[in-house]
Amino acid sequence: MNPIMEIKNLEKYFPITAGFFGRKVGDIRAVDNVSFDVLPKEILGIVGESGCGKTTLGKTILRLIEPTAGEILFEGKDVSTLGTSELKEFRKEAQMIYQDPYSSLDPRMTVYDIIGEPFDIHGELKSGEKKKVILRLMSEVGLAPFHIYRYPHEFSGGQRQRIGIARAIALKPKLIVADEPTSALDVSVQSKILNLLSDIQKEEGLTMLFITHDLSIVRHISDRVAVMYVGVVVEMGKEEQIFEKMYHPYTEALLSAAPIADPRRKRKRIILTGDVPTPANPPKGCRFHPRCRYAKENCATEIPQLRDMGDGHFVACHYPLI
Amino acid sequence: MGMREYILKRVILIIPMLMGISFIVFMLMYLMPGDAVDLMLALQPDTDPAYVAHIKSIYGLDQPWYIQYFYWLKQFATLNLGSSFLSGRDVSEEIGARVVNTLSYQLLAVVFSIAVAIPAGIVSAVKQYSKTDNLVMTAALLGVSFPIFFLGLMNIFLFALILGWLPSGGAHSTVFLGRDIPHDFSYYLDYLKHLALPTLTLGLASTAYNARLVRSSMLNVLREDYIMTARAKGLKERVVVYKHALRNAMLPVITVTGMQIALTLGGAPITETVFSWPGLGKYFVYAIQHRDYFVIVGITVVLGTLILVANVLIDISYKWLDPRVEF
Amino acid sequence: MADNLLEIKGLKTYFYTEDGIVRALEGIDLHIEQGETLGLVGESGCGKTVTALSVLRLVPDPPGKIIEGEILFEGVNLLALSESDMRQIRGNDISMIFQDPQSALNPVFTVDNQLREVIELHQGLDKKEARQKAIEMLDLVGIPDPEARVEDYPHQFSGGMKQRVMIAMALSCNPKMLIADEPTTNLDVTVQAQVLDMINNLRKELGTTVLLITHNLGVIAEMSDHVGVMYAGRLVEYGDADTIFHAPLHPYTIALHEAVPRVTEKKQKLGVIKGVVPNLIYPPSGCRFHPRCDFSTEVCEKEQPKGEWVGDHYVECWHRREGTKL
Repeated sequence: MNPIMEIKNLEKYFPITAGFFGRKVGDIRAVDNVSFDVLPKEILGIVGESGCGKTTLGKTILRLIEPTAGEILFEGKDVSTLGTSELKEFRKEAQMIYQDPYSSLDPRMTVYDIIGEPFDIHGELKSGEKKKVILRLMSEVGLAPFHIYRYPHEFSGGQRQRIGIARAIALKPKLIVADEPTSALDVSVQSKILNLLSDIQKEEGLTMLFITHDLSIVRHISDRVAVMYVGVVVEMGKEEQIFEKMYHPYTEALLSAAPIADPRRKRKRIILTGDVPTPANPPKGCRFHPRCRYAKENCATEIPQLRDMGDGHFVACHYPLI
Repeated sequence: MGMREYILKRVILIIPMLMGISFIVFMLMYLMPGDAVDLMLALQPDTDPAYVAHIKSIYGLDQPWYIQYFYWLKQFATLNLGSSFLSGRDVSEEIGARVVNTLSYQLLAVVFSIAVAIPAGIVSAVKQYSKTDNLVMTAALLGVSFPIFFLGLMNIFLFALILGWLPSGGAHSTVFLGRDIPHDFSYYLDYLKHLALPTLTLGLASTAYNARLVRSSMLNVLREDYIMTARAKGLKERVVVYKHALRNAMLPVITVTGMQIALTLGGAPITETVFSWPGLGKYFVYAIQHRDYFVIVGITVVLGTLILVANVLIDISYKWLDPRVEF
Repeated sequence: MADNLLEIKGLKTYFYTEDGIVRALEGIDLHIEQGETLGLVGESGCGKTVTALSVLRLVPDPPGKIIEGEILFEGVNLLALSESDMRQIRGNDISMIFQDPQSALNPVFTVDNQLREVIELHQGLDKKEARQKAIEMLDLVGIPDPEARVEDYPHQFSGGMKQRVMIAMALSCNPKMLIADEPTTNLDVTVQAQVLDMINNLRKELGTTVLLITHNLGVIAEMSDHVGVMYAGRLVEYGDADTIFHAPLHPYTIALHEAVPRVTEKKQKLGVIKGVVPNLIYPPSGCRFHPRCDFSTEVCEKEQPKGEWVGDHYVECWHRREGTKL
C-alpha cells in the first residue's frame, strides 16, 4: 500500500535564549530526525511520556507550527513548502482534534457557528444547505438537533469534544490528528468518544494519527503504533507487534509500568530509575541509554537508527530484545 | 541571568529612558506659547525689542528647540541640570530643597496604604461574605470611586474646617517659617501635622484599591492545593493564612504597588496643589506657568529616575518573595 | 476480620451553593482495616475526594458541611472532636497527599521549611533535629543527595520528585493512615510505576494503612486489598479486590470495567454507560444510578436500594448481577 503521508527526517527545534541580548544558547529538540510513513485509512497511535515530542510532532505534521527541517509528504506533496493557497487546500484535507474541549472552542460561538466555520472559510456550501449539513454532522457525532444554537459552556466535556469532532470532520478530510482527545474526560465518557472516533474513522475512511500517553487507549484504538522517547521514534509497528513482541527496551519498560486492571495479574515491573530526560539536553548516543538495563558501551556514543526488523516492525536500538 | 547582571541592565536602561523623556518634554515645551522672558516682560510691553532679543540670546532661547535640547543634553551628561530662569539658582539645588517634602508624604502614603490594606484585605478574604467583609469592601469601593483631588478637598473640609484638628495646607505653620527657626521637637511635630492630610488622602485612595486587591489575591491563594496541604498537616489556621497564604498573595500586590508609585508620583502636581504643599509637584506647576524650562525638565528627569528606581526595587523584592522568579 | 482502623457510618456531606444544595455524600458506610490499602474508585463528582476531606474535616466550609454521620478513627468519633484536637490528628495520625504535586507544595518555601514545619509541630523536635529527620525522610523516598536537595524550592524538583517530597512530608510523623488522592494521575507512566512501587514498599515497612483514591482501575487493581466503588455520592459496591474485578454485582461496577480499554488485550468495542453523571443538586430518585442503568425497573426509580452484605462483599442494588464473570 502506498503511504498517504511520508515523514522524512522531520525536525522541530525551539531555541533557548539567555543573557543580556537574548542570544541563543541551545535548542529544545522537541522532534529530532523523525521519519515514518502513514498508511491510508489506518489509525496510527503515537504514544510516549511528557516531553517526548508527540504533540509537537502532530502540530508540525499539520504545519500548525513550522518544521525546522525535513519533509512532510502528503499524497506526494511536501506540506512544509506549500504556499498560502495550497496550504488552505491542505487544511481542508487535514484536521486536528484537540486535547482540551474547554479551551479549544470559542466561547462566543454557537454550535452552528463552530461547525459551520470551516464551510465559511472554504466557501463550500450554499447558505440554504449549511444548516442541513450541520444538523447531519451533529447527529453523526451524537448531538441532539436542539443543541444547534447553544454555546460551548452549556455542554459537558464529552459533548464539547463531540462538537470538536464534528468541526474536524465537516469538510470530509482525509487525515485527522487527534491529540489526547479523551485525557480530560471521565472513564464512561472516554469510552463513548473512543467508540465514536473509531466508528467515524471506519465510516469516513479516514486516516488518523492518535496521540496519547495512555497505553491502554493506544492499544485499543490503533492499527499501528509509534513509541516516542525524548524527541525520537524508538519503535514502530503493528499494534500486536508493539504490545506482544516489542523489540525496544523502553517499550518493554513502558508497558510493564502500565497498571493492569486485574488484581490476579501481578507482573514483574521493570522500574526505570530517574526521570525522563529533558529534550533541551538529551543524552548522547541512544537517548534511553542512561535508564536502559541492557545498555552497553556504544549505546552512549552511537545514535541507533530506526531500522526494519521485518514485517513492518521498526526499532531504533543497538541491542533489540529478540 | 543573575541578580547583579539584571540590576546593571536596568540601571543602564535608565539612561536612554531619561533621554527619551527629556526629549519629549522639550518638544512639548516648545509647543507652549511664549517663553520665560516673554512672560516676565508681559506687563512691560514697551520694552526695547533689541534688549529682549539680547536677554533671550543669553539664555539660548533664540535657538530652535532641538538645539536647546542638544545643549541641555550636553550639560546633563555632566549631571548638571542647569539653572532656573526665575531664581537663577541651580535646578538641582531647587529640586534638592523640595524633594524631601515630596518623598515624605509619598512614602508615608505607601506605607500607610500597605499597613492598612493588607490586614483589611486578609480579614475580608478569610471571612468572605461576612459583615466585616461587606463593610471593608463598601468602604473600599467608595475609596476607589473618588478622584484624589475630591478626596483631598473632602478631607480638608472635614479635618481642617469642621473638626479643626489639622492644618488645611502648607508644610509649616507661620511661626516656623523664616531663617533662624530651631529644628526642635515642636518644629517636627508641626511638620507631621501638616503632613497628615496629604498622606491620608493619597494613602486612602491606594488603600482602597490595595485592600480589594489583597482580598481577591488572598481568595485565589486560599483555594490553592498547598493551602489544603498546610491544613492537612495540622497547622493552625493562623499559620496557614499568615505563613502559607500571605506571602503568595503578596505577589500581585507588589506588582501593583510598583505601578501605583508611578501614578502617585505623577499625580504629585495635583495633590500638592490641593494642599499647597511645597514639594516638587507644586513647584512643577509653578515652573510650567512661568516657562522655567530647565526646572520643568529637571523635575521630570528626577521623578522619572525615582519611578525607575522604585521599579527596580519592586523587581528585587519580587525575587525575594518568589524563588521561582528568574531575571 | 481484622480490626478496623477507620469506620465511616452514615456520612452525609452537603455543599450549600447559590444554585442549591449539592448532596455530595448521601450516607456513606465504609471501613478500612488496620494495615490494608483500600481503593476508592469512581468518576469525577462521585464523592471520593469529599469522603477523604470529610475524614480530615477539611471540607471547605462554606459552602461544605458534614451534616450527619460518624467517622470513627481507632474508635474515636472525629466529628465530635474539638478543632484543636482534630489538628493533633491531621498530619500526625492521618496525613494526606494530593493529585497535583506541582501545586500541592508551597512554591515560596524550601522543602526543608515545609518538612520541618510538620515535624516540629507534631514531634516536638527542635530545628536541628527536625532538619535531620527531614533529610532522613527524603532519603527514604528515594531522593538522591537529600542533604543538598533539602534546601531546594519545589520548582527545582521534577513532577515525580515533588510527589516523593509530598510523600516524605506525609509520612514524616509516621501516621497510622495515609490518604492518597489520585497520587499518580498527573505523573508519567514510568514515574507512576516508581511512585506506586515506593508507596507499596513504605506501607509494608512502616505498617501504614492507606486510603487510595483514584479513577484509574489499573492503579486500584495493583494497589488495593479492598475496593469501594462510588457513584453520585453513594458507595454502591465494596469487596476484596479480586471480587470487585472478577465477580462484581453492581451494574455500575460492571459497566465501568467494560468501558475501560485494556493494555493486555484489544477489545472490539468499548462498553458505554448511557446518559451523563447526574447533577447532585437534583439527584435521581430511588437508586441514583437508575436513569443510566440497563437493568432498572420501577422499584429502582422509587426506592433507594438497601445495601446488603454477603460475607465481605457489600452491594447496593435491587437487581444484583449474580454470576458475572470478568
